[in-house]
Formats: sequence, structure tokens, C-alpha cells
Amino acid sequence: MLPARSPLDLAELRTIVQRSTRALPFTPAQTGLAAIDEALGGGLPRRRLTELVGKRSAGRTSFLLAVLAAATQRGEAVALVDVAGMLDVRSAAAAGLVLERLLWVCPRNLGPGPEDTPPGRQREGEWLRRGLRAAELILAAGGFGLVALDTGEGLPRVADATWLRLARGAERSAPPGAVLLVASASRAAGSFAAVGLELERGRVLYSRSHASLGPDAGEACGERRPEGLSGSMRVNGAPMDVERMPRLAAGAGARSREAPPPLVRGRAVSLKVARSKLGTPPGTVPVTWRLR
Amino acid sequence: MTEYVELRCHSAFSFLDGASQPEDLVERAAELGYRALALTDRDGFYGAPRFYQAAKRLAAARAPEAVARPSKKIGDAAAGGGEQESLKSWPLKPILGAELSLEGGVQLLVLVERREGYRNLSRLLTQVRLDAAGPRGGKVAPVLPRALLAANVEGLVALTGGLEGAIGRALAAGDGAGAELALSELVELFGAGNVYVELQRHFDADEELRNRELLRLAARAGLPLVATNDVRYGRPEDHRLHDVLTCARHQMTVDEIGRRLLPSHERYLKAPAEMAALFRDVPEAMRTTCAVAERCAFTLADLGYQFPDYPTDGETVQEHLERLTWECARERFRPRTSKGGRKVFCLARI
Amino acid sequence: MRIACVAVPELELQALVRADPELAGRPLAVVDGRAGRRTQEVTELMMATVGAPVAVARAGGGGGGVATVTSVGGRAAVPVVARAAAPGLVTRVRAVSEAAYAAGVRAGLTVAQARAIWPSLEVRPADAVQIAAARAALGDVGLSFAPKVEVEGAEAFLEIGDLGRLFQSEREIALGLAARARAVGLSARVGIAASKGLARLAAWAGDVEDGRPRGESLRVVAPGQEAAFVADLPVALLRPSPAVHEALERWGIRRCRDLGALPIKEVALRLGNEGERLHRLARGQSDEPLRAQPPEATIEEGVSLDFAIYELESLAFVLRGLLDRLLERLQGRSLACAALTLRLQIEHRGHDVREVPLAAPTRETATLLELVRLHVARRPPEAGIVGVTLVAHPARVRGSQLDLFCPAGPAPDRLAQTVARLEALVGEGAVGAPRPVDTYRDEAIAIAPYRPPAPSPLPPSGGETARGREREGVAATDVARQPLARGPEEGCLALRRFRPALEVEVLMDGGRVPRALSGSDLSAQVVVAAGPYRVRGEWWAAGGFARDYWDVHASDGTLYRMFCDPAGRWFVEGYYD
Repeated sequence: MLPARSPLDLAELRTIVQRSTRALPFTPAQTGLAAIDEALGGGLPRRRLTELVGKRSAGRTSFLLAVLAAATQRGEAVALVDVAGMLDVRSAAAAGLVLERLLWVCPRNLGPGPEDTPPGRQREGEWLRRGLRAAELILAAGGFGLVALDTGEGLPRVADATWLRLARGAERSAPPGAVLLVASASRAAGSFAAVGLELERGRVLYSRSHASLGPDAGEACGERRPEGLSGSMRVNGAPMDVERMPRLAAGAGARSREAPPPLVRGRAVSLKVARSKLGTPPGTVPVTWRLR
Repeated sequence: MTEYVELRCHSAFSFLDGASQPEDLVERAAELGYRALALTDRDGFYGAPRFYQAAKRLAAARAPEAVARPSKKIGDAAAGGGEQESLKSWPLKPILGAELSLEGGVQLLVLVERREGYRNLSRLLTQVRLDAAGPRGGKVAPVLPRALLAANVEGLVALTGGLEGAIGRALAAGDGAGAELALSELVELFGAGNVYVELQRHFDADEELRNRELLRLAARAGLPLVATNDVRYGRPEDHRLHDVLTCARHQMTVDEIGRRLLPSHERYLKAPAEMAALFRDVPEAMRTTCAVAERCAFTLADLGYQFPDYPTDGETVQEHLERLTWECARERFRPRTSKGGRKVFCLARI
Repeated sequence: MRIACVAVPELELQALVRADPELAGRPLAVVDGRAGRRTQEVTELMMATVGAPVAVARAGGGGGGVATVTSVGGRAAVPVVARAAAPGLVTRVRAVSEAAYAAGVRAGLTVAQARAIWPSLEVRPADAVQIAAARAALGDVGLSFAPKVEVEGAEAFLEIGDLGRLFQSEREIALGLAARARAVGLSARVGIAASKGLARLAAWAGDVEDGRPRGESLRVVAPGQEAAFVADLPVALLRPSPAVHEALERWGIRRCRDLGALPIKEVALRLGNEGERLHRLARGQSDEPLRAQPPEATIEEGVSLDFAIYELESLAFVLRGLLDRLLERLQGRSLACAALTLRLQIEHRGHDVREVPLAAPTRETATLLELVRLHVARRPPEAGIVGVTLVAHPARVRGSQLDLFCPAGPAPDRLAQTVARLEALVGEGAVGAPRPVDTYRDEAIAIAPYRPPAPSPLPPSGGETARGREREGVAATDVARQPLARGPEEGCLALRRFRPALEVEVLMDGGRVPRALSGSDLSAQVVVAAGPYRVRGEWWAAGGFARDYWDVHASDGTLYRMFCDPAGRWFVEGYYD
């Protein structure tokens, strides 16, 4: 009679078999976007920390969901630690994410939650702290193919020791070997990231009848921030000059025949492999995110 | 002033998918200054008589003499022509039509243009309902086979429809080629002049996206555009009743119904100005509604009894009858008597 | 047939010590169970009266009872009239600890007498909940070794015939049982023999001092040795009824050997059925059947407190003890806690029952403690807590078959623990598989328990195909390069939400189209505004909702999604990112 074996033994056995069949047990995780995989040398590296940086509307979330979707479609269990609670379930479903395979952890408590934390920045810091801890726990659990951590809107201030722990956690993750993907608005993980990806905003795509506008049409046409507001509306204490606004599209008041109302269709961005410790050459890949 | 005619309108006779009685729709349409209104219930005509009577009462209320029943003449090519004539002066012309359920769960809107169209549509609906009557009085959802439709399209005008139509369905699935194919099938079936590409606007991004594709398809196929509002209730506030009916149709409570309800409450009879604002970039779609209404000359007033045609060798029916009478009379009453004269008199009376 | 008997001496006492480990080794007396504090009042009153024959007059209208104390510490009985708080109630010592016994405190004394002997004696009322829990824990000890277990009084019997394959000798089984009992906080005596009666004898035999079994013991009666083993035992160990015992004493029969030597017919004639049974036992031939009880569906541990608890930290301290014992019992039966019910007895207000949902079965004290703590913190009880009971709803720990060619998922037990820990970290309802909700309120999100489905057997993995091609003689690198032919990459544009939506001020152009927006975190002009997209619904519930959505390309380069509510307030729901 064979002695009873725990599933863990079988997992070890599996690793051994995989090693012996020459196929690397830690093939990179494909992103589902072939050109990006190509630029990354096959996909996101397993057991490594990859950092994804992009400001607002640069496609950070779309990329995150695409990568998660690709992993779930391969049958992997994935986790998303969503510090700010930004996940839109319908977007995730549209991106092809198999939602049952996604472990969503939202440290920003949406309902009644752990005891009150101080307001404002401190509270965000607390969410981030919990998020980092959650990511560590998930990595330690093993069996996840991808652990994504979205640090939210703010600039994440995280101690080096924490990044080190996370990177170690990824290194030690059990087969299939977890990709640790940290997405932030600005660089945070620094040298702890094996690969650094940066996103740049491109054009906004409109329905056929509208010329697509430049990357930051607003910036091209005027100021980055409005100087103020006129009328009853005051922001930051100063009135804004409405007349200086660019008039580019709908409601422009064409007399002969009005253009149909504009429809937002998508956004072009470019993904740059900025840094890599794995010998991946730097490169830039254009990506178009379309609304579905 | 902008003119607009609603060509797609459900009454409560579209079971659980329409919230207003035909009379209410007529009344509201008249208030808004509509010159005509099409009643297009799902797979049926049930509301037609009440719809017609409502329009007639409306006319009577506005101008009593216009609805006076004129005398008819035997052999008049268009029986009831008198009422037909007077209809021109009715404030609201009641147009007939129906939404047909085709195979694959898609809907097709047809409007009755001529008397023959009415006959064809009646035949289609009768057949569909007969087929839908299951064993032991049970019913299955009516489905109109394509072949049956193809044989009975004379006198009908087709609108491509919104999301529930074959073209909208294909566009929603992102299948541009499929949509084009569906449109060309429709044109083949009804003839180029009898198909209108339908635009609806209910403040919905997806719908607007489909409209863009429809505009492109229409331009490529050279088909006219027509605007509709896919009306389900007369007044804006009736949306609640419609929502409740939708719940009843799905056998769910309002808490369970979720996204099965319509997202917006826009499917009421809109004022022509409101519609014009919505379709300000395609004014021709507004104009076409009136053209279609003009085209659809048939109303229930045309339903007077028509005698069957009789082969008469070039004579009119009256002449033929008189001739036959005289011939027989000669045979029967050899000597010309006063009786024979009376018969001529009688004949003249008929 | 081989039967093991796990016997717990002084179960009432052990139940107390088990619940409060600090009592271990201290002089302790268990008294008749009633509300603890009332007992103490009585005790103090009597403290004043004991030691001298004092008659206390019955207080008028007090409803007090009169009781007589018959003996104090083995000295001559001193009649004492005591006033008790309830009619006829005098609390007597039911069991004493080793230390108390050594000091001379004996069962049967009143509390006052006992205190007189040993003033620092800890006196605790017997706690029915604790005793029941200790008894159930004893059953669990048995269940962790065999499926059929009978618990009778302070003894558990189990059939161990099938355990030979797992253990080298019966002695090891006995050791294992004793260790298991120690793990659940009970010190037990273990006996193994051919029948239930003999096993009981084996458990209780030996190490007896003044008729009081001392401490733990292990005894295995090998097959064939039954008669020899029983022969030297005192007949009292056979537990004869008082009448029979007296008769035997009278006959001068002290040892089982003597009883066994008597002719069975004569014994049966004089002592009836019981005599016959005892006779058989005394000869080492007992065949009492094992009446196995089904294991309990839930596992319960509770404690009633002497003093009301008002603070979370103190409660957590009590909870930790309860959880430790609970989980130890679950562990023994290879079960995990799938759901937890917390029953708090509130001062003057009855019970407050709470269900603590768990994302997944777990056996981690820290995790469960954190969850229970959070649960209580969220809705603190209205008054002091005077009793705490935890009921665990057990579940089997899921095993899973791994597939060699599919990505291995997380191991179910580790996943369960992790999910429970995560919940303890971030709170309930924020961990799990998200699901869209069937509503037009797009921000709604539902969380389902995380149970990833098994991966499909043939994943379209790049690694697999590359390997396949390699076998066909195509270099793997060529395969990797193939997708290059495709043009710029396309994906699905996602909405990134603000939770909750950000309220902003919006400047309209002609009252129709937004032209500029400004809020706490953003301030921009509108380059292109697409909309409105109208969503209405839920008019039947509290006002319902009505929103006009706009997609706005703002001058800061961001594509916002915002909406206007019927009151004219604007919110940025998020941005396309």
C-alpha cells in the first residue's frame, strides 16, 4: 500500500518532471500582445518583479487587464491587488479576463472595514501598506501565475526593504512561477524591478467622421492646466478664461450641416521597455486600445 | 416647422412590450402635431381597428363633415374611395404595419403601402399564427419562415430596424460584412425602392456606433435613411408601466430584472422638434419619415367589400349585366311588355 | 477485537484547567455549578462562620436556606448552620486538584470548610459548557484515531483493531492517544484490552492513591493475559453498585481473583445480573458492545466569565484560548473551520449570536482570531460580555489532483489560509473573484468566494507548441518570431474607476456640452466631449438613478468618463486608461 501523499509532494514531482523534460519550468508569461512579447523576449519574466509606469490615460489599466486576461485564458490563477479599487468589472470581462480565476484584493475597504485609519494621505499610505502585504501573502501562497499590484493614483512611497521582500517572494514562488507586475503612476520599485516598462500617451481615436486628435491636444492648444474659471465657477481660487479653450469638435457650431456627435473609440499608446536586467534590448511598441 | 412621422410604434397589443393603448397613442400623436402614425405591433394587427377608429374619431372631432360616410357604387375600382378621399383631410393618418419575427430571433418591420400589401401581410400573420399554435392549444413563439415572407412582399415597405433587426444584430457583433449581406438580402426581397435604413437615437453609445455603420451602409447601397424612435409608450412618464410590463414578460421582480430593462426612458412619442434636434446631422432621415407616410396610402378605410372580377369582354360590368338582362328578357317575355321596362328601371337602381 | 479506553480522571476539574491553563498546578476545587459570583457570596458568608460552632439566625424574609455542614477536613463533624443565598443551596466541593488534595481538601466538603483548610484555594463552579466541551474534545481524541467512538462519562472507547498498519505496537497507539489528549488539554489514562470493560479496567488500574487515580497512565493488556491482569485488581475498580459492593465486602472479597474464583451460578443467584456481569469481568471475559456515536456536526468551545468584559483586547484574549482548543480538535480530525458562529452572552441582555463568514476553510488561529476580532469591532456588543462560545462548522480540507500538463493552481489548503489572512488584512468583502452585477449602475461589483476552476486540459501555451515544433525539427526561435508579422497591437481599452466617483464642477457650453471641469484632484478644459449617454433606472427604489454620461477628452490628456445626475451635480466616474 502506498502511503498517503499530500498534494505538495505531487507539485514537487511535477517540478522535477518539468525540469527533466528540458522545457524550462519558467517560460515567460505571454502578454497576449505578440509585439510586446517579442520586445520582452517572449513575455513577462516569471519569478521577477516587472514594473509598469504610466500616467493617467496612458494605458496602464488596459495593459494590466490584458496581461491578466492572457494568463487566465491559459488557465492560470491570477491575483490583482487593487490598492485604489479601480477595477471596472465590465472592462475586465471585455478584456477577456476569466473572472473566476482572478483573486481581487482591494485594501481600500469598500464596505465596512478594519478599524478606522487616519484620513487623507496617511490613509492612502495605509492602503498601500496593506496592498504590499497582501501581495506578499499571495506570493507566499504559491500557485499563482501572475500577481499584479496596482498602487493607485498617488506616488507610492515604499521602503526598499518592502520591495526587496516582494522581489524575494516572487523569486521563491512555487511553480508555475509568479510574474510580479507592479503598476504605478510613477517609478517606485527602482532597481528592484527586473524589467521596467513605461507607457506614453498617444492619440485619442474617435469615430470615423472625426479626425483623431494629437496625443495631448489640450496641451498643444493651450495650457496644461487651465489658469482659472470664469463665471460662477472658481477653482483653486482663480477664475478660468473659458474663451481660450480650443474648439475642435462637436458643438463647434458648423452652420451648413452639423457633424454627427463624436464617439470615443480608443486610444493609442506606446509601450517602452525602458530597463531590463534580463538582457532584453530597449524598444518601443505601439499599442492601440479600443473601446469594446 | 419640422415634420415627423413615427413609423415604429408598439401599442399594448404587443403583448407586454407596449404600454399605451392605440387611442392614447393617437391622441398623443395628434397633440404633438403628427400628420400620420404607424402602428406596428409584434406579429399582429390586433390594435388596428381601435387605432383606425381613434383616428376617425379624432377627425370627426376636428371636422365632422369630413367623415360623413359617402355612398358607394358597384364596380368602383377602389371601393370605399369616398372615405379614402376624405382621409386626406384627416388630421392623423393611421398607417398599418407589423413587426415580424423571423428565423434566428431577428425582427423585421414592414409597413402596408397598398391594399395588396395588406392582403399579403394578413396572409403572413395568419400563417405564422397557425404555425405557432402548438398541440392541445399550446403556443410557441411565432416564427416567420423566410420563404413564406419572400412569396408575400408585394405592397409592403421594409425598415431595417434597430438592435433587434438582422442588420443591427450583425453590427452589434462587429460583423460589418454580415450586416451588408443582410441589407442586400432585404433589398433583393423587397426591391430597392421599398427598403429604408432605419436610424434610432436613444442616447446610447453602442446604438450611435451602429448608426455610423448604418449611415455608411446606406450610402454605399444608395438607400434612403429614415428616423424612428422605436416607441413603446405614448408619454415619457409611461416608461414605468413599460418597465413593469417588461418584468412581467421576464417573470421577474423589479429587483431581479437588472439590465433586461431598457437603459433609458426615451421610447415615447417625441415632438418633431425633439426628433429634429436628435437627427440634426441627418435631416433627410426626418424628411423621409413624411415621404414614407405619404407612400403608405392604405388604411382600414380601404377595406370595403370588393366584388370579384368577372370576365366581361371589354364591357363594363354594368353594361354586361344590362346586356344579359335584355337578352334573357327577350327570351322570356317575347312581346315587349311594361314588365320588361320595369326591369330596366330596376337594373338602373342597382 | 481490540478496544482502547481513554479515561479522563476528574473531568470537571480538567475541563476548568483546560479552559484556563493558568489554574494548572494550583490548589483548585470545583464546586456545584451555578452562577459563579453567587457561590462566592455564599462562600464568604460562610467563611466567617466556619471553624466555630456558630448558629446563625435565619434572617427574616430573606428567603435563605439552612444547611448543615457535616464534616470539615476529616475532623469531627461540626454542625454549622449557614445562610445560603438560595433555598437549600450549599455548595460542595465536587473535585479537587492534586495540589488541593495534598493540602487536605477533599471532595464533599462545603466551600467554607475547604477554604478553612486552605485559604488560598481557588474555588470554581463547574461549568456545564466547559465540561461538555471537554467531553466532546475527548470524543475528538478518539475520532482522530478511529471512525467509531463511544463517549461515556469521562471515558472514550474506540476500536483500534485496524490501526495495526499505521502503528508498530499497541503501546504506540496508547502513546498517541495520550499525546492527542494532551494536545486538546486533557491528561488521560489509556488502557487497551480485548473488550470495553477490560479496557476500562486497564485505563483505571494502577497508580492509585487513597482510591484516587493519579495522573496519566498507559496500560496494554496483551491478548491472553486478561485473566492474569484482572486477577490482582481490587473489586472496587469493577464499579459495583453500592449494594453489591457492600455484599462483596461482607463476603471478604477484595480482589477480582477472589470474585472470579466463586462459582458463577452462586454469584448469579445472590447478586443477580450485576453479579454475573462483574464475575465475568473479574475472570477477564467481558463482551460489552461498543455503542459508537456519530461525530458531532459542529465543534463547540465556550467559557462563562466571572467578570464582564468590556474591552476588545480582553475578549481577544478569551477568544484566543477558545480558538486554540477549537482548532486543536479540528486538527485532530483533519478538518478545517469552514464557518464560525460566535455566541456572546451579554450582561442582562441574553445572547448575541454572530456568524463570522470565512472565505475558505482554515485552521489558523491568528487568521480566525483576526476575523472574529474585526467582526466584533465592527459591531461591538451593547453591554459587557459574560460568556463566549465559539462554534466551528467543520469542513474537510480539499485535496486536489494536479495535472502534469496544466498550470498548477494554488494548493487548496494554502489558498484557503491565504484568503482568510487577506480578509483579516483588508476586511471582509474585499477579497475574492469579482463578478459584474446585473444592473445599470456600472460601479457595482460583487465578490464571489475565490475558487478558481481547474484549468482546461489543453492550454494554448506557447511553451507547449514550441516544444511540439522542436520535435518536428523547427527551431523554437522561429516560432517565437512568427507573430511579428502582425501590425500594431490592439487591445481592449479599460475604464479605470474612481471609488467613489469624484465630484467635480463643470462649466457647460450653451448649457449643452461640458467645456471645463475642475475638482480636488483635477482641473482641465474639455477638448472633445462625446455624449450624452443616458442611463435611467431603479425608479422604484429610493429615487432611483438617472445619469447623463459623457466621455471627455480633457486638456490634461486624460480621457475622463463623467456623468451628471438629475440635481445637476457632476461626477468623474473614472478615466479610460
